[in-house]
Amino acid sequence: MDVSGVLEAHKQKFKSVSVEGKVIPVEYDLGLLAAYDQNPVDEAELKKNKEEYLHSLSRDNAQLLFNEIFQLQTISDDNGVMAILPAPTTLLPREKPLPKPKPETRWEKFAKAKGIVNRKKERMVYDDATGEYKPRWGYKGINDDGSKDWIIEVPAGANPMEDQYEARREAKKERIERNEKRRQRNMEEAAVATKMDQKAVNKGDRPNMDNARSLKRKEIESQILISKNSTASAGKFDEAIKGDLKPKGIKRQFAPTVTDLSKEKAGNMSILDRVVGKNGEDLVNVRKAIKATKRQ
Amino acid sequence: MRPLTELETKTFFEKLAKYIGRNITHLIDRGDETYCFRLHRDRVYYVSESVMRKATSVGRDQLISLGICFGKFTKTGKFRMHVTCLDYIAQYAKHKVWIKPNGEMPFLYGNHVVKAHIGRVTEDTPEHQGVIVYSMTDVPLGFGVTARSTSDTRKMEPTAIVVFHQADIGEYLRQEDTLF
Amino acid sequence: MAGRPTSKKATAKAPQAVAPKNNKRKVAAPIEASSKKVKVAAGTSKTSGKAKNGKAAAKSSKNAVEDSEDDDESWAYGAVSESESDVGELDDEFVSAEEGSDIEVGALDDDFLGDEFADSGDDVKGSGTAMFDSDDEDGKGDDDVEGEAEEDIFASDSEDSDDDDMETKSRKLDAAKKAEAEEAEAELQTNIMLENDKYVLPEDDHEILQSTDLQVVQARIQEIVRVLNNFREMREGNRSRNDYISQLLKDLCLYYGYNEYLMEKLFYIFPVSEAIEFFEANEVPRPVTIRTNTLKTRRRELAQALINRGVNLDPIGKWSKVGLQVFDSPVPIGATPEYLAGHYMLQAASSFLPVMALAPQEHERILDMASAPGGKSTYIAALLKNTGMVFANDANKDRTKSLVANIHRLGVKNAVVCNYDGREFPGVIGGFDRVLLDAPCSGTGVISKDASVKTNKSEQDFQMLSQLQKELVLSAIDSVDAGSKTGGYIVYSTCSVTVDENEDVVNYALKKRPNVKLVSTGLDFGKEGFTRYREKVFHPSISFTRRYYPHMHNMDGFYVAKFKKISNKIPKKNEDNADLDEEEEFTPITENSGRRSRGGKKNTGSESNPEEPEKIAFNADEDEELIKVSQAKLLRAQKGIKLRPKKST
Repeated sequence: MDVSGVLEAHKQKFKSVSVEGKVIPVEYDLGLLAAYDQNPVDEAELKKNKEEYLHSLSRDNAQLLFNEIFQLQTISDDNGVMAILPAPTTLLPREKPLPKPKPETRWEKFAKAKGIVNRKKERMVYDDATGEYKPRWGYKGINDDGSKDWIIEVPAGANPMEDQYEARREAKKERIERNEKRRQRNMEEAAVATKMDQKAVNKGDRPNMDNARSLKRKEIESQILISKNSTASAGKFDEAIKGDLKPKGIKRQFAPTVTDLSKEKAGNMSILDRVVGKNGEDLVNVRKAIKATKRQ
Repeated sequence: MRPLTELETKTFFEKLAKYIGRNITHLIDRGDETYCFRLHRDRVYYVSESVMRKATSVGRDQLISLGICFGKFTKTGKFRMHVTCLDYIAQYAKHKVWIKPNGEMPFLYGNHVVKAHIGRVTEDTPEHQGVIVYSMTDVPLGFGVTARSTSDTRKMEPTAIVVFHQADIGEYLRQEDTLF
Repeated sequence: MAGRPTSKKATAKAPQAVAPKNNKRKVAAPIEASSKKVKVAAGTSKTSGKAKNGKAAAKSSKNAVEDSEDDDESWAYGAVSESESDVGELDDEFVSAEEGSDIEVGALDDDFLGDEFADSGDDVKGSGTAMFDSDDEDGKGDDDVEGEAEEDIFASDSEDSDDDDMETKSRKLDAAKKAEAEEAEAELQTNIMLENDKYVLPEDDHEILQSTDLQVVQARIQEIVRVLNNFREMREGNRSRNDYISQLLKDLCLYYGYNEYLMEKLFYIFPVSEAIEFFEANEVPRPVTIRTNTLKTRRRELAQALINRGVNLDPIGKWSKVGLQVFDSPVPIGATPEYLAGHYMLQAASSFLPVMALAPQEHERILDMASAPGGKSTYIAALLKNTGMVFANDANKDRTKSLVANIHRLGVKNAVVCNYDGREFPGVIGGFDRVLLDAPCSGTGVISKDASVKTNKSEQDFQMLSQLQKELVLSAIDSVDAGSKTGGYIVYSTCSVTVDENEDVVNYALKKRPNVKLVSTGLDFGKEGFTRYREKVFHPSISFTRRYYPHMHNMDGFYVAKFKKISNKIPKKNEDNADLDEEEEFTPITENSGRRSRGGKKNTGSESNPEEPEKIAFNADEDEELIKVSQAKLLRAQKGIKLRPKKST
């Protein structure tokens, strides 16, 4: 059966899969199912027949994209035939800003000064006793400080009756606490330094931590003074504590006692003019004076 | 001791102008000697330049007074005139009230001046005007503020208050401790 | 009886009886008593009538005799209670006494009415004659007799109250009467005692202590003064002058209420009788004086204004053109409208003097070192006519308030008031044309104003004061600019009369500051300052200074000295003595009676002589013990080490 006629008719119904007339070849980023047409738009056509023109342009470019996709390697499974897309080549902009660099901690500062470099260590270490790998720290970690030793030698000079297990637990607790304190301190100092050194922070640099400590002190003092004034009487009737901070008043500036008095005089006169009015009330009661002279 | 700030000068002049008006000019710009206003311990002193210059040798804590005290600034920043400035404001006063001998003592005890005690009044004194109170022998006794204008006073009854008491020379005795 | 001093006879006698006690205050007591009893006396019209007949009549009439007796008693005693009891007794005898206050008198009222009249009358007559007999006899010391008589009376009183037996009672009464009569007679004798009668000093302390009656004390004072004034003839036996004087001092202390130290200090300033006048004058207030404020008014106008207020006043004297003396005033002189308006200042006459001596000239800069309450400062300002300037300083901050008040009240426009210790000058500011130093003092010149001085000043106070005054006068001198065209003067004044605070201080200033000299104060009255006093000898120019006494000038005791500063450089006398001099400044000067100045002009009589360098040499061996002691003291004071004193060999 000659279906050529039917095919022809069908073919007539659809446009050709090949697209011509692209001076600059279209660029593809198949990973993102995207095609970029760099050819200039025909202005005259766009003005004359806008919808039609845009429609045909879009169809052509879409056709080109599909052509490319159909040339990709395919796999088939239950859901049908699928093309394997390559990795996208176009870089997209970041939604959120980059994280700011963290302020330097005291350790970092110390390590930098001493040239200590952080070497990467594995998370898991081999435990000789059990012949297993165990986390270096944390839950079920090997770092149990010998609290799992079944026997502990009493250190020289120590009280033999003292529970050495307890002592080790205590020591560990203390270390943890101390570390926590340091962490807190680092955070506080970092907060103050960030607040004070906004210039560097805005530039994306680390804030200057050099005088973080004195900054911190100042911050605390100002907070104390605020709290002292935050009573019902604005701190007036609170008992003064010895050695307590005193709010520093505003240093007022006055003119020196002995000055050029002619200047002072001129200043006074101008104030007087403002107070009484330039013409002001006259030195003489004019109305009365006129009356008096008339009477004469 | 220091010069007055602009705000202080303004407050001070406003009060002073109630009594002597534009005659303050004569205090600022004198023919004989340069005088100035100086603030010391909230009090305003009117003093000649030469005395002021010498008084700078005296320590702040030890300086008690110099020249003539015109009054003091209250804690709320208002200015209160003291009777000590009477000599000057009496000299330049625009409005005056003379009181009869029987009204002298009541006024010197800090009472207001009633109509019955009035001997003479400057004509055309408006309401709420600062006036100097004189005895009939022309001795300045103090100062006050008129309750009514001169014309209104005529219609009032003898016991009505004509001048509100502000300061009187009896304060030298009554308020010696607080005045200085 | 006490009511009858009004009778003629009594008045006739009065000059005699009162002669030794011309003190009005003391006399006042019996008069008061008498005025109380006048009623009683009036009741016995007969008696009083007779009493008027005089002495001759008194002899003939027993009643009158009693009168005379009683008169004497009342004068002698002055103690009201006694005379009251006497009155009661006598009234019983002549009328039925209603006013009698004693128990004794009450008893008489009940039982003796009428009956006893004759008896007691006789008794009295007897005693009366006895009295006149003994008139010519040589009397004993009056106070002895008085003392006994007093004792007798009191004894009989106390016994009477217990006794019931009337006879014994009456006998006792008679005895008492007799004693009284004797005593009265003795009193009479005292009154007519001849000028050169010897006065016997009371021997033991017991007697002195007993005689607390002020009149007795006063009589004794008079006697001793009389003796001392003519000591060679009047002295008793070989009693020394010191015996008399020590007794006199004791009596004066008792009579005027001074403490012994102050009494001794004041007593030797004057001749004996003048000293009494001085003490007497201290009991009387000085007249109220005011000073016209010439900045605001004139004296004539002020006087007129005050006279219109009914004040009675007069100019203070020829020496002042601004002073007024107020005799009496119906209004308080410190609260008149004129006072409040600053037309005058209430000011003692004496405090005019230093300012007049200072004589400020216009356009000068003047320092008043101790100025409160401002009388002198404002006077200075008035003389300056508000030109130049016045630095009014006072060390007491509280007192500066009244000072500022007065300065403002009197319209002083060129004053600076400051609150420094005067010794800080000229460190604060110097170069003054004139300086007035009215130094803080003991106030022995103003005892009439403040009697507390009499008792509350001790030797230590005087030492501290004169020390302070010496320091002040030096800083006053240093504060003056000698190069001043019109000035260069310092006036030193005190309201004290003691030599320690006056001549001694001035002498010290002359010695420490050879660049000043004393000049005439310009005051044409007042006594010259002492050039020598007791064992001290002062610079002869101290006669330029002036002293004022209450009894002489009717103003407060005062002292004024005026210095002229010649150069601003203090010449050093001798380098070797420099540190010695420094030391002197802070050690109270000890009197060294034997020393006299050899230089004539420079007087160093009152201190360990700095002009004898050869004497100031130390011998370590001789002083070893002293050195040890002082070292031990030092150790203990500084390091708390207490050395055990070694047993002295």
